[in-house]
Amino acid sequence: MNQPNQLIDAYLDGELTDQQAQQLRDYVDQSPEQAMAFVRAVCMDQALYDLNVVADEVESFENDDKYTEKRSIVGRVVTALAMAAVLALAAMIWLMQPEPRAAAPEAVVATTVAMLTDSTRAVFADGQAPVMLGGELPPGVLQLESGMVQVMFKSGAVVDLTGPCTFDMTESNRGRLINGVLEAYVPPAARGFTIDVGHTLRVIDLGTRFRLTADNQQVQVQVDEGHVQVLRLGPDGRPVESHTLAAASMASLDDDKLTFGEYVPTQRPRRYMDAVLQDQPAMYWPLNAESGQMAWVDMGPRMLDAAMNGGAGIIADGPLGESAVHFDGSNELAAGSRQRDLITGAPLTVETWLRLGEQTRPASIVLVSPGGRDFGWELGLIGRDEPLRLAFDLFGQHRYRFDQVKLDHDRWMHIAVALDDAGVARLYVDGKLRQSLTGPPPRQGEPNNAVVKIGGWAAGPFFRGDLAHLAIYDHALKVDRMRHHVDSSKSDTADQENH
Amino acid sequence: MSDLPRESDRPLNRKSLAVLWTQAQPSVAAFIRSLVPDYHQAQDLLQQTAVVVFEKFETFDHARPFVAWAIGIARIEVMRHRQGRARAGLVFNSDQVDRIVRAFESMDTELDDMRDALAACMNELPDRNRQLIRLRYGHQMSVAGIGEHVQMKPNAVMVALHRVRNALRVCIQRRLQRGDAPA
Repeated sequence: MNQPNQLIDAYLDGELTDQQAQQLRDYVDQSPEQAMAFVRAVCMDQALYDLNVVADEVESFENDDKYTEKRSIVGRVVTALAMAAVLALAAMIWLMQPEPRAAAPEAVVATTVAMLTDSTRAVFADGQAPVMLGGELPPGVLQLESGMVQVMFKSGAVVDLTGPCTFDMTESNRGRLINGVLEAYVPPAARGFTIDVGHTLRVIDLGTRFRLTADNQQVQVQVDEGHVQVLRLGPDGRPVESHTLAAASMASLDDDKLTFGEYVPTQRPRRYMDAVLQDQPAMYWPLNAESGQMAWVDMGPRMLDAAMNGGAGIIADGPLGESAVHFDGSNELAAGSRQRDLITGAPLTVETWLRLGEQTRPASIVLVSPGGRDFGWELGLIGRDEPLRLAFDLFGQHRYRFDQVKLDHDRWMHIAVALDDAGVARLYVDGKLRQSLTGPPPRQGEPNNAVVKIGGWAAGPFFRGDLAHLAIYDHALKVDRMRHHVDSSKSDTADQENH
Repeated sequence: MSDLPRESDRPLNRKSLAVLWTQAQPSVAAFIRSLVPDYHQAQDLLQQTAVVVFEKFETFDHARPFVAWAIGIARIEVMRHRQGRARAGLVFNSDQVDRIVRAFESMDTELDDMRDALAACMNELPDRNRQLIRLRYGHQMSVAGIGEHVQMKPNAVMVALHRVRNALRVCIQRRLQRGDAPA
């Protein structure tokens, strides 16, 4: 084995003997041309990896008993639990089931490929059998009209789908996104997890977290962690272009052309959001835009997705390391126009993250009202010539002025006002009770055609400052829950720093 | 609140970094493999290199070629890796590494053309040869593992793989000479 290419191939295959290593050194030493020949051979070898790391072969490989990598069941379970906090026990039992083997191809076709591990207000397309939480999913198309679902594949890969979204689960480590938004979390055991987007793009995960958005015009891949391989597919379905994307990168496919750019990864503050959702808010806007879409989505049961009037400003430095919404004094968010049965009276809690700038002035922060001032309520800022303070106005009944609490500027504060049935309003700042005020027993709320205005309303001054995670509850949250929300946010912030 | 940091306020050169890195990454990956043949170790080093490149980008002199700068960082990462592993797997001395670096720097667009040609050449392979390539690269099987899988002796696998690679080299050369790389 003295031919240069044989030496180089053996080197790259890890099969070089000491004697051959010396021959290879001599070869490279001999001339720049030979060094270049060596480099060309290496480049081809590397390109062969890039072109061939595709999941379908990985799948068939894994189905072969003899050559299947021996995974630790315990390791897989631990990974699975870390990735999907919901239905932990069910997921564990499910993951410990043996995977289908190549020896029984009929069983492979008939078996399930994934499990529904989470669901938030998911509405599936007409005619689709309802999918129960914890239910196993056979290969096939999930057509989600709205809401969010989480699916854990048998390989351990987890995808979150945000409706409207059409997703085809093809195999136990593979799927096809037809349209919509998909976010994938892939533990090491599921390396090679593959998502095709239509018939034009293939994304192969190399152990990471990534996000895919697909519509009729464009496909976008954003990498949060690790690496993914992006393959552009030709008309015959074979890869014609291959790139490896690192974290903080993105690729867009538009008219068969791939372009690349920078991407600022966002990490959802899951613990805080889970804590809020645990307390069953009637309305909850995260205001932490991801791809400009999530900010206005109401995660409460009313699904009152908001709309921005004026120029919305998404800023990167939200309170929990993710994004937030900046109000510049001329814009507002409006939700629920002509919606009935909003929270217009006690008991209620309104909770948000708030940051005041130097220019912040008295204004409405959030208002729920049928239009006049005799019904509904408003949380706002008061104090024109003095430090700003919070006020909670129960229209036509009582105005609660939290005059003992001066608000800081230029820092994120967690604030909440809880009004109970007896007419007591409590202000919590950063999870601590700061002031309690008593008003007359409030009237019961009545059916109405109210709107929610965030950041100001037509007749009042608009808010200047930043907001994130605005939630409204139809019950008065207690101090222990307020503290729990803030504590949860600290865990998210720690995650961000480690991230 | 005009003093708040906005997305659009971030330095423009950060935006160009992702583009530069995406273009340079195949060369950097191949450079690392030239010194660390093990694919998985090389991938780890590529990731580490990417981290350092992103951290150090502020110090990058835009008058210089980005690929050369990134390869320089990769070289340092490879050296650190080797020190951590008691020089395990060291095949080339520093003079030889210099020579390899220079070869990479002089490749210019050749690598892109070669990769396009390779994609087309893969489609010309007979099924059995394509299967060998997929076992080796797609499944990252060792020569011995492939031998067991296809019931061949390791030496026979090495010879077979070598023939397939030679066929690909010839095909690439032919396509590049004709200037018709893409399929």
